[in-house]
Amino acid sequence: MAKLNFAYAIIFYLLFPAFLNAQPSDDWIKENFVVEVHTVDDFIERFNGDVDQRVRDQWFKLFDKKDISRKDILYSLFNLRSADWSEAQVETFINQAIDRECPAFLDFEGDEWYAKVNCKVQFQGKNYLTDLVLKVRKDPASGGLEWVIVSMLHSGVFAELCQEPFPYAKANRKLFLSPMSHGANFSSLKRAFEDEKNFSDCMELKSRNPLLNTLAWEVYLGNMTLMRINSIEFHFFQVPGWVFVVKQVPREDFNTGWLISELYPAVGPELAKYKLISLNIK
Amino acid sequence: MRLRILPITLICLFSWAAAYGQCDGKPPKTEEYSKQALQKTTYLSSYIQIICDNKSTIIKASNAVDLACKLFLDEDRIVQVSSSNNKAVREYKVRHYFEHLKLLGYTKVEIVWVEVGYVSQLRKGVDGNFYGVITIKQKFTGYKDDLPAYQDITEKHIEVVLKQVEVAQAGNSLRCWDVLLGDINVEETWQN
Repeated sequence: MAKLNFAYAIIFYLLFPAFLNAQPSDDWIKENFVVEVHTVDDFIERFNGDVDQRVRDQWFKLFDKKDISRKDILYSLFNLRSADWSEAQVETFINQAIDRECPAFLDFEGDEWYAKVNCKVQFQGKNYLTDLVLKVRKDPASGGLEWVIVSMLHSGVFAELCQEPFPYAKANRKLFLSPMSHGANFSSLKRAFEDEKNFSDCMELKSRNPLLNTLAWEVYLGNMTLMRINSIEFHFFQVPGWVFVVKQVPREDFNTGWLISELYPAVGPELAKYKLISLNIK
Repeated sequence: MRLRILPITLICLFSWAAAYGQCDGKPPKTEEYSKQALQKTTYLSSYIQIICDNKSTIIKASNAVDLACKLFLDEDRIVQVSSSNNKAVREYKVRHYFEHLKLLGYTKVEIVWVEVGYVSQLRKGVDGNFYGVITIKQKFTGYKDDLPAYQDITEKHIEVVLKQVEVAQAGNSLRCWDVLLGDINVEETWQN
């Protein structure tokens, strides 16, 4: 239990200067802002133990500690107000991640992590909520990166699916989603939907997903518009035996930003089932 | 009149001086890009102050809109505005966003940088450009008749694009990295 001291310290500070509508002081804003996990890149760096010195200095000041271990950092990446996991589960996960023999690290360019983007779309004049699933793809020739759409969750958007395969293969791609699109909440997706004729450039070329095939056709034919992006979450499968979901937790305290909000142990068929249900990925 | 155009002229001169950073043909360095990207966001804040100030003449405000748009990769970049108190998300193409700011009708505007939160590492895109994200916190105060009429604190996530351009210098052609702004996500975290 003592191992959770750092987490409890953060919980204590959660209750600290919560303000209603009084203007927060500049010092408070700075301290809170420095500690915030700003983007999923920041999350990955911290997960791997690479923490900005300003954040470390702030933690030393807040918690009166002289050193912050990777274990402490991993605790700080959990949404400490979520009650969806047991302390024992978090402890097991963290111990596995920091195991001396076989530590776990996250890789931005690696496989096995996805962005799930909840969107409001308009299809044939009606509004629907749906999820697009994207992953980072590395071009083997140039080494360049891009986000590509790899899946879609149905949500009843299409009454029937197009059977005719969309002609994806194109010699000169004109459109792509930059590898930092997530930093500005995937606004680039909105632009991609507006570029109807080239929209399919943003899709995984190898994908033969019937929903994506239909999406490509309907956007191409001008039947579908992206109205708004509602929320984004990142699903990670890079720690063997575990699934965790990172969501944005916006609040004015020291446990804020992109944090682990769901954690599940999952292997083999359970993992495959999770991927299919949550991301429509086989 | 001369005094009125001085701020814009100075920003233009500084923008020009800092327009191109690294010209050694190597991949861009993070320190260099972060310095330049933060400089461009400072220019953006200065242009916004001019655009919002209803004492700015129509010409001066329009010039500021044009110059602000030139800080971006192109005018298709999107500014997404959301509030922690309100789930509605507003999205504007950059020029539309600046035109919208023009209509706010403040007699004076102050934009104060509170902190730079995060400067990401650069990632190479499939187009050969490099991409990064910076996160800053700013305090905005809009005055009407010298009294604060509106205040907010926003967190801005700004995509930054580094593009190689040919620059002629002393008869030679150099390939330099130009730092441009991409999509911006503005989140209002507090307002009064």
